[in-house]
Amino acid sequence: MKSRVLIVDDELLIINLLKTRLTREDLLVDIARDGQEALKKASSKKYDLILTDLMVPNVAGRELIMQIQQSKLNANTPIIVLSSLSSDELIVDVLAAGVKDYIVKPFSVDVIVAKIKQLLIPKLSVA
Amino acid sequence: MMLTALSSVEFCTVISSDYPDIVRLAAFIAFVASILTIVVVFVIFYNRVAKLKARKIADEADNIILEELGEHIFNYDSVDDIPEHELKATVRTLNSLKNQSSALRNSVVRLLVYFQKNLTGAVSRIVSSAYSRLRLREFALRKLRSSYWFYKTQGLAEVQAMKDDHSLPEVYKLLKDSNQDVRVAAYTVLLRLKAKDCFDFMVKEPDELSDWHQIVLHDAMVKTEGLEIPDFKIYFSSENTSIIFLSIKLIVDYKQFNAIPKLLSFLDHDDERVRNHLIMALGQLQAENGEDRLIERYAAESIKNKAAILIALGRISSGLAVKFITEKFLEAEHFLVLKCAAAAIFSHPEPLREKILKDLPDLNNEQKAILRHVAEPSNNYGIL
Repeated sequence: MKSRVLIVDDELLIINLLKTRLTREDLLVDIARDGQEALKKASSKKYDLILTDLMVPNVAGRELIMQIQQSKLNANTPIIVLSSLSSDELIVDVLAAGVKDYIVKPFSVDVIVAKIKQLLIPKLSVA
Repeated sequence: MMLTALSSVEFCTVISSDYPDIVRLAAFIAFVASILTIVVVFVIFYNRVAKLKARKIADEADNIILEELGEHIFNYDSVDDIPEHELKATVRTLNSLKNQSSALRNSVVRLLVYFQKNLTGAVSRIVSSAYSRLRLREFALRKLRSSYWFYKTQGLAEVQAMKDDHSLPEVYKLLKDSNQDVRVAAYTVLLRLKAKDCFDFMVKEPDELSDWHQIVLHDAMVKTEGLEIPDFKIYFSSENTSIIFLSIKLIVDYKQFNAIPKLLSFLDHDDERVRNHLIMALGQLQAENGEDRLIERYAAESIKNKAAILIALGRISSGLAVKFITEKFLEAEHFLVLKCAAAAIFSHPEPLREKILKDLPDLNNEQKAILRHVAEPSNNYGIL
């Protein structure tokens, strides 16, 4: 079964680029342009991984992460944060909230793909 | 339109009849005003339509170019993986798109710059290669040579994003531009590209830098890996106060402890704002050898700087200034001083803090309330 990934970002160019690459890696990719849309999708579908920006419209930042972690279907879904905010305090704070990884923009698409695949490997091997 | 036609008829009737001059003048003014209103409404409407049309064209251009890039370029892991014939064909297509219209050209530049700014690794190298093959650098150079400041800053942003070292001679020419935004953008490019003499602006900038400009330059310095950082205390002699502010901030960020004696020697500076920055910096650097000097300055300072001294002593927390901080807390007449003295007490490490609190005499209600307030760490955000 294909793994399902949710990308949350308000920048369409980034989303399209990541979606193209992840689809090539045989992953099913859903997108959300803001926090509210992301929460709606996270409450109706189980994802194997969520890749989210911190600064998205409506619900954002730690609040978004917390609400995803409190959702029934995705409470244990690994989350990777992708953000242009690079202060050490923020990164420590977000990682302390249970996020699996924090990637600072500018980022390498190859690195993101590798990290996603690494986080999805346990699931794939169990399957 | 009918209303205008009707008004025109009435206007002509009034003007040509034997009405008093004042009525005729009023009719004239009313007529001109109505014509102007119609013109303004038309211009607003026209601009909106033109803007929407331009956005639609830009979106269409973006889609065409993204499709081209997505289908033929971004599918590969590196430039070397792209078959030469495919790369050539894509560059040819983009080149013809670029030459078709200014909207398409702007779109090509905007997208490549966007990807270059947001991505690293293979895609970034592919983007860089495409930028170079499409000879888009020439357009950036044209912008740098423009007489309009906004084109110059746009060109500088492109040079910076594309890390185009070859355009540096043109960037150097803009260091003396009459517009400060252009100059700051040029300084930023030099810092980002680690160019020769990239810190010279700290000596040569003629005008005060705004807070925003300082943030931009600070950001460029701290986010440029491998930048050779100077000893920022050498810029204290600048007559440009904003350069002193920026230097103090950078001394703190780069933990240049060797600058502490210089910071202390400048505590007599004429400008109260400079002294405030120096006091805060001494606290942030936890300059224990500066405590006596800060205490000595206290009496002569304004309320704002008195508060800054107490905060600085709290950050240093050597234990040697406990008596002074406690005294100021007990005798404080100004709320800011009371709050900062309380925060300074609470910034001491646990065993010492307990002892200070235990040794305090009977406190009034305000003093007790403020101690309860600062006991909550989140209330000290921005203070300590």
